[in-house]
Amino acid sequence: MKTQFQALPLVGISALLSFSAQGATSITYNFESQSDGDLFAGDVAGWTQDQPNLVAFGTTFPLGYIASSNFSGVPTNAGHLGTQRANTPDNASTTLTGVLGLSGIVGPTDIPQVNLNLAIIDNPGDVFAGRDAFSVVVKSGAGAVMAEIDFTPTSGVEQFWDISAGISGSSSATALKAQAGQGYLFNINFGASETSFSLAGSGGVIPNTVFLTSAALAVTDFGTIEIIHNPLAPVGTSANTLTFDNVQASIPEPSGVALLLLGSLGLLGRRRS
Amino acid sequence: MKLKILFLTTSILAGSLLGTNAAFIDLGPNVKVVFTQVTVDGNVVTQAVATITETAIDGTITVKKQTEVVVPDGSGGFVKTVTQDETVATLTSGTSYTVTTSSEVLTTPLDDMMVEGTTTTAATTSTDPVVDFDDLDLPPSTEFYPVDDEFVAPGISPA
Repeated sequence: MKTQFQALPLVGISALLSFSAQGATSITYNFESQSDGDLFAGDVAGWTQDQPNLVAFGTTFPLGYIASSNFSGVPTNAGHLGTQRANTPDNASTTLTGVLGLSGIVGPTDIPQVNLNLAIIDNPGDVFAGRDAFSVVVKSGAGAVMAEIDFTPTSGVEQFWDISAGISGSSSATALKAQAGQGYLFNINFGASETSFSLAGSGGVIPNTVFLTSAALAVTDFGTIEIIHNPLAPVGTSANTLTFDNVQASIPEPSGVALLLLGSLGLLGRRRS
Repeated sequence: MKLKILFLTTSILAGSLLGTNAAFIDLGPNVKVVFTQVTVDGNVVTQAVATITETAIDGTITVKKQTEVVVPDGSGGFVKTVTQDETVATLTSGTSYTVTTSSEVLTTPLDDMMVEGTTTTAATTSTDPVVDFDDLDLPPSTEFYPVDDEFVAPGISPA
């Protein structure tokens, strides 16, 4: 019993050390090393764009680009994708793909997460009254859809987008709507018993709140994150953009409480011996 | 538009036109260029259009529309055509306007590497002295006003 009792915390500590090593495993894109106007088609390390930007009158009009946005009180660089500066002439979708490249995720003990700031920009006062859909998709290293969050214009309600979400290519409607001009922090937690989707106000005013749970996924890696613009309005009639920032995929470090608990168990075992 | 008087002048100019396009419309952040697909000589190509509208204190309406399209020339190269239309509607009485429309068509051959050759310009001008406001038929503006980039906290709390 003595050996077994002492062995338990040792195993636990060993596992936590492993966790700690993995806890440093994360990737974040905050775009602060970029310059205003940089293009996702070639300028942003780790990202690609599947559609060419438009060129006319000797000027490039980008679909995906870096520009200033303010999610939490301070203007910072952020990614932009949509029809604010250009549109695909055939109304084709545009996808920006960011490499996450996290592997070695151990289920079900790891609870890997993906989170990012999102906001939709649309000026209801301009002549471009059309509105489009946007999506965020997390894929595995093998290219399988793991989770997605979709934004679809709310029918008959200007400035609002319906939010749906889901896993493995299946998206379910929620009661939530995103409003243009408002900043959000979306989180996807891949837990051992469920996959949860939550959001908060990007400035911290609205606390993080789960809005959808799905079945657990056997997550072993994060391959890519895709930011997608899907034109719904007739070609050339929209000027809306999805802004995104602080894109992060991570495997959280174990909590200090867990470390303390296991350490206490170890001490207790020694005292009993 | 019903034409009462038509002055038509056509000229062909040749030479470098560097900077001409930019000067016609300032393609800054407040002008959105709209891209569409059009069919020209059987080719489906991309057309870019930018249009701005200005209304002066005296009621004069000035509309500038710039269009660009690049079409294969059938022999491995391309032809770029930029059309610059300016319409000035001057209020004469009540809702009646005198409308002057100027158009320049800039044609530039491009080789297979998209290197530009010499540009030629064809210009036309027409005037209609009596046009009612409802018949102005002005092209829609593509002016755009970016919204503030400072986001606010969500107004709808999660259910």
